[in-house]
Amino acid sequence: MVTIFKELRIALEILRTHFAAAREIRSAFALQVVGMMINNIALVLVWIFFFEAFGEIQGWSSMEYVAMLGMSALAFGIAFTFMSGAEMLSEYVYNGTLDQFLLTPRPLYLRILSSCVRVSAIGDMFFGLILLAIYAVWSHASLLTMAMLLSSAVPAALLMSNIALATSLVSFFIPDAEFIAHNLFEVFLSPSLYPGGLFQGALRFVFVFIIPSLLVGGLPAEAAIANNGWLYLFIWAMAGAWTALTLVLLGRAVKRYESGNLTGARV
Amino acid sequence: MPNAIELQNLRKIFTFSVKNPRYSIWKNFFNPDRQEIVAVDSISLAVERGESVAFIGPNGAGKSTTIKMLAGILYPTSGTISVLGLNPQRERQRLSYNIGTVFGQRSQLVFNLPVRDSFRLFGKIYELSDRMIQQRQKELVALFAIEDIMDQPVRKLSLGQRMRAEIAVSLIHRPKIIFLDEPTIGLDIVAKRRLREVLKNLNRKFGTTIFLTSHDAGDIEALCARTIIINHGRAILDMETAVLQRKFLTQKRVRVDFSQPTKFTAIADTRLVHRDDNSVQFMVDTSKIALKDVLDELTTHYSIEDMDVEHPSLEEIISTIYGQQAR
Repeated sequence: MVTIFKELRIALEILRTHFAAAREIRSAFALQVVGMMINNIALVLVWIFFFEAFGEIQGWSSMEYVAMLGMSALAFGIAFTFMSGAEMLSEYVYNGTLDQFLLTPRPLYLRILSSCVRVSAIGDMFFGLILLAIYAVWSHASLLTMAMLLSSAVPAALLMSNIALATSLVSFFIPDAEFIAHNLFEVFLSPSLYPGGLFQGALRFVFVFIIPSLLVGGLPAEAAIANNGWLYLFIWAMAGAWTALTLVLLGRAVKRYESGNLTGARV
Repeated sequence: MPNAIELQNLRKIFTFSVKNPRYSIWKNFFNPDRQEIVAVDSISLAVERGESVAFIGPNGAGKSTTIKMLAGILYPTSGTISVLGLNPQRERQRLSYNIGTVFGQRSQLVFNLPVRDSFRLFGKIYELSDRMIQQRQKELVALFAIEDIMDQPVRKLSLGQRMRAEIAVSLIHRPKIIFLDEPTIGLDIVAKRRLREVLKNLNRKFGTTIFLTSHDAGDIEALCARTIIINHGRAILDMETAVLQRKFLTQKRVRVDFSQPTKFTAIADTRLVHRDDNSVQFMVDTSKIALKDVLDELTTHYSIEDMDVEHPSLEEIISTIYGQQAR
């Protein structure tokens, strides 16, 4: 346990340096944060108009959607502000940057996750918190519901970063697989932006156990709104399982690493 | 105490798919032929602690692959590796506390921040206290003469300045071995000389084992007491650099530009390559005449605008070695 805290403290120290580096380019920093929030507002407005026009979907109205998107955006913000290196792994493998992470005395998993900061994800975090505040006020949500919604963002963020990392592992097997890894991650992420009510029966099983999109979207919102403790614990357990699986897969994949000497030539 | 480095029959094979013109586009895509490249072929060697070893060879000889296996980046196909008594693949994290690495073509410094921040970051990564980071930073800044660039963002540094900062940062945890992969690549002659001096001091002052790959024969002469030459993944020569110099680094090419039109008379025991009124090029065999005597004669009798002394290329050295082995 002491080791885990020590490693997390060092990972935070690395992130602190990356934040400082990102802040050096101030105008880009501010533009990215604000730009992402505007982008997200467009998405939530589309769905609010959709629910206004067509009514509920399997018990989901615009309020449930706001809660879900709030939690999901917060989770995305946490994942890609603090663990953005996961989505960079393909690039690291392709251009040989992974070398420098293997050369430091830190666990490779944490070293990769903490290797960069996606500034625009800070905008997602703020946007998520604003949406959750709107949900709390409009729906008079209980403290328990809000606590469950807010805390669900942690396992959801873990799931997002682990799946981003797991999909990037394809780069150890296929050269220049950034595009493939990105698309695989999109297959997971896109369904998480749809109301949970759309996923019923076999579809629900697929999107929980095979492509776990519902674990970072509809399911945490349903657990919080219904104050369903078992469902809430199930989401944490799945986040733990995916973390363990990603760690095992990373350990195996890195044995296939071939490094590289790609320099910055562009034609 | 175990040796700094011990390799036994180290091999690394890379495989990749190749297009076969006789196959259809589908077969080439889904079931292509595979080809193997033996990047490192049964290398066995031992390096004692405190040694400075040049591990040299032409492009594609297997230098970087070997260094990456020694540092725990790549897994060997077969053979055994021991660095400071540790297995780099199984005990990567433990080993990392004791080794430093510099790859000439890749930066580990934080690009947008001042050099000072990279010292702090790496100090934290190696679990040094703030006081220790300050103390080591002070020592290294003095050793590498980089005080004037400490507050400059890395992106604003020249290549020579960056390389000195890279090496200084990579020593923050005071490693027992430093692996340098082409540290002088792209540097001008002044920066190269300065870097070599610093590395020599490091070896002398702290007893740091230096394991250096280079494409530049000048690095070997200036820095390393021992030289291992590899070609096509095999170690073809392992000897003291002084002996290597006597046997294989005797040919120097001297180029001279005169400051006014000059009638040049060939110096005894040299071989003229090119001569006109403004410049001359000739080869000096240092086993027959000392380079210093040649330079003295030039500066005494001629008015010189510019002068350059070149080492033989590695390709030339290797072909000489093969030639001698064949005899």
